[in-house]
Amino acid sequence: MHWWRRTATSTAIARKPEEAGDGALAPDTLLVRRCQAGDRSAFEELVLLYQPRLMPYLTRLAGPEMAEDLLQETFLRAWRALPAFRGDSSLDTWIFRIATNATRDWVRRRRARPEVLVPPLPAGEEAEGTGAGNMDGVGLDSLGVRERDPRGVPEEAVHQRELRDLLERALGNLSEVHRATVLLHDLFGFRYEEIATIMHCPVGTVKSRLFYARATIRQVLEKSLPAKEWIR
Amino acid sequence: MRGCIRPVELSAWIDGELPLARSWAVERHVERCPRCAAEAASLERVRSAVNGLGDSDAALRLARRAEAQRVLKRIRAEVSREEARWAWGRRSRERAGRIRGQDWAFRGAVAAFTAAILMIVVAYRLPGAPSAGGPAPAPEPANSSSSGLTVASSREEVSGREEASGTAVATVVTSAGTGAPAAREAANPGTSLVAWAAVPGEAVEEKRAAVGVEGRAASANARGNGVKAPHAAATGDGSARPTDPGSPAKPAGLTGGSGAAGASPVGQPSESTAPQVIVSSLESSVPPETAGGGSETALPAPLGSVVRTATVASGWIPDYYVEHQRFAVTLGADPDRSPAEATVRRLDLAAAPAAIATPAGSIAGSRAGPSTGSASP
Repeated sequence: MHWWRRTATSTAIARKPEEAGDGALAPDTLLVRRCQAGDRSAFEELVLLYQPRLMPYLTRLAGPEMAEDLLQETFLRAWRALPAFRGDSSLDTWIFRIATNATRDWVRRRRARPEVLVPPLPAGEEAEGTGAGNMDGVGLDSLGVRERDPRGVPEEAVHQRELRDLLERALGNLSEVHRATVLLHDLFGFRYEEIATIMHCPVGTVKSRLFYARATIRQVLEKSLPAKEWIR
Repeated sequence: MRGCIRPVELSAWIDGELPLARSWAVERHVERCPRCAAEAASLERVRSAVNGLGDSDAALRLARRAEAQRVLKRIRAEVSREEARWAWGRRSRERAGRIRGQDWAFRGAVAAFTAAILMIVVAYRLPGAPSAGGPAPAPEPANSSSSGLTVASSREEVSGREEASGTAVATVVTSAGTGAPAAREAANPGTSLVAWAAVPGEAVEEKRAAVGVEGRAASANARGNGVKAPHAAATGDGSARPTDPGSPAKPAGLTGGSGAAGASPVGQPSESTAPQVIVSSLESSVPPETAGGGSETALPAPLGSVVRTATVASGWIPDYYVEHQRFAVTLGADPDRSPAEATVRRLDLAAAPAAIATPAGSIAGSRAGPSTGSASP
């Protein structure tokens, strides 16, 4: 089971339901209807519901500096588009689609207006994570999580941190579309068809992108760690 | 191994995204193919590793609880701003809609008023016009060869016809801005350019109009900022008979005009059949003593009466409402004469009057030339 399905918000969001089993409207449908009726508190509920999921997604897609702005942009777009939401797709697919579009637009703007790039860090510091716009070197520190000094924790924890940093680096080396695809599937649990909807592409493209992304990540991990060390 | 599963398909297989039958086939293959089994296992490890990032994200969420509130506050403020903008936009649109509706009503009223004034002037101010209660002459199709007047629907067309064949034109320009006809001019074969401009509050560079009917001609001049009292002269030598379509233009048809103010029919003076030119109600910011506009001056013979009108084209161009109206007039008092047609070109000068004044001035300057007090072209 994917992590976000396990966590607290799963009580509020069912995956596809227009109606729950007993015939009552599903929670997300109710939430959407309340939003469409102009209930501001319902919209704030929606923000609080999706913010914990969107923030890691946007952080990994656009970097920690831009994630908050993109999150705001995502919810503003959602607020504008909510009156037209007909429930053709599930609410989470719809929201993630908006977030992906917002990120894509931001990436296009960034490409059209190149910024001064931050010079790359030496290899030793890179893993510490100071992502500047892209995901290279985005570690937990840059995501705002402070961990204890590794000298005081068991070896397994150190290993896990190393693995996470490597994974984040590998993800950062992927293109935006491959990164989004692998995150949407492996981290957020979307099905291929849902990802195709979010990414505006055919299911076959999702399939090949996902394989390519995994193969690339595998290459990075295998280069850095013996196979037995990254088996969970 | 021959017949191995493609890695892309293996990747989809571990995700459970293959159709059932294919999934069983892949499963059977993987059970007996170590290479594909290894490939599938490594892809599965990658998937699990990426999925494990969610645990760190859970810690991240805890660390960012305060941040969530900050984001919510930002979104709340932005939504409020946007709602305010929407409300303002809605009010603006409603207000604009009201104004637009009023504007249309105003324009319609002005157009109706203009048309009414024009009809009244033509019908009652001209001597020899049929009485209001009398039977109206039956409208006949416009026939330039028989009437001697042809229709010009645009300024360019007027110029072209005049230059090419000398056919007569009759043109009325009204300014809907004031609701009053600004000028009406007519010309027959051989007359000089009819130049016109009617711009409320703007200079009218020069005007000259001439009419000839059955060998009689008259002209009127107006120039300057505003319009001077039209000088008029009538002459007739029969040299440019409009009933003769083959005859070339003969400007001499007007050369006998004296250019003095007031009508002076030459040849066969006849009050009842002499043509008439009316220049009326030109708006001007020039003092009356120099402008001489605002009044209606008529040469002493009737042009005729309007027997029918029809709007032939109308449309919007930026800032202007343009409407072409055709109307038929009977010339003189001869009821047997076929009606000639003229064109009303109505310009609704809502804005940028200079855009109209400039071309009018240029036409007047280049085509008509100086014509103060002269009936000759």
